[in-house]
Amino acid sequence: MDPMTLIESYVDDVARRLPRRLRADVALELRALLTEELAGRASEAGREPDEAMTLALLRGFGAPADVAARYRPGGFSIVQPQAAPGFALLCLGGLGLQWALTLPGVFLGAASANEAAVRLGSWWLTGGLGAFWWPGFLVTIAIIAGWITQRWPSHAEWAPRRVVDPDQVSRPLLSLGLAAWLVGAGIVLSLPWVAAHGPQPLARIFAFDPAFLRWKAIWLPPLWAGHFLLYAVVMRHGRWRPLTRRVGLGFTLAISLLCGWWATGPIFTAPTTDGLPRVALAIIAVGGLLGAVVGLWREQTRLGRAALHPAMM
Amino acid sequence: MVAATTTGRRPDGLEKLDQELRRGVVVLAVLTQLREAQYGYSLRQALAANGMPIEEGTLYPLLRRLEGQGVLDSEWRIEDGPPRRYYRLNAAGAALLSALTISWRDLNAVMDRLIGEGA
Repeated sequence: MDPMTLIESYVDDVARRLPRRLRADVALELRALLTEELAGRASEAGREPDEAMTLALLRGFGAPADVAARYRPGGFSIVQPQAAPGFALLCLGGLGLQWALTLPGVFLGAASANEAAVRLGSWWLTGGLGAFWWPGFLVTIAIIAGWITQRWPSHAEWAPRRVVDPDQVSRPLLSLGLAAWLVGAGIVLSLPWVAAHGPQPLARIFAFDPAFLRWKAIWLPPLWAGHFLLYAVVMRHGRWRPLTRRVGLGFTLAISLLCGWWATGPIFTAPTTDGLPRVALAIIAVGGLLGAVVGLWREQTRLGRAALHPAMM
Repeated sequence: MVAATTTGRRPDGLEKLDQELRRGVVVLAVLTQLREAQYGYSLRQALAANGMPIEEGTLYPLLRRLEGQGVLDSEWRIEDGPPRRYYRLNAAGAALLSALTISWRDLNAVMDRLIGEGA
């Protein structure tokens, strides 16, 4: 290809990536400069410029997109490099979560492989592709945030975060909480009696399963009493201490396991009444167990930090 | 500027680090040559002749950016050849050159001292 045609093509590729007001002027200058560069190289080589020499010059100059970026004034980043991993995780995590919630239903309700394939195709056109609203939404928010940050950069000086002592407790708030707990516990513990002596049809609807009351429910009062006593001790100290933290974790674990145990069998005699509380108890059990695991992990990291800074214990 | 190991082999990544060092002084180098009007190609030749080769893909856009920042003036001229865009320092550019020259000399002295201590 003719060297000038190559240069022309290259200049066009750069110019079309530039703001409209810059295109003609930059193209004119770039064309002139590249032509002189090529003439200089040809003179050094002692021969006429050819296609290979021109391509070497243009490739050395850079990809048109890169060159255009060098001509442009600095823009704004949609996602800052340091935020990119978190942003990608948020995008892909949200996408994955939506698929995880909708995709199993496609296969669970299918009677045959063919039906599953048809349902999968239908899912892809609805829930599958539809889940991409989430990355799109995040990118839109990031564009707006990036533009605002570039337009009105923050000049706020860094200030240390308020140091919160996680072990300190507010006595007034804790005493209020304990009072509310007593009232709530009184209501819950009196439910069997209320259900047994209430008017019909409420008594029938909320009748407790006798086996539940005999074998399972009896563990709740002592656990609650112990837990309540623990909080009373913490209130007296005004803060959590290593021993009370660990005993507290033990109570959380025990109550979660109790809730999980309750959820495995009947609580009420009426099946319609029995369903929802058991689901709620299962959720409480899972939440409590997760809380206990997080608490244990924090206790371990606290021990690690304490080895470095004993004052933190 | 480029050091070699005792075996004569260049340490890994030296070229990149050397480029980074040079990148830091490109603007100052360009400003020094624009006390007199120059167009892109002649400027690149002048810099190369003084031991400061700069890739054309870096230099030409840089001239535009410096002009956009208000430190260079430019004009199209037709002399003994095709039309060429000539760049020259304006008052703001001359002030910037003075300030950067002071910074460079200070930095150079500091680096000489630091390198001297380690040598």
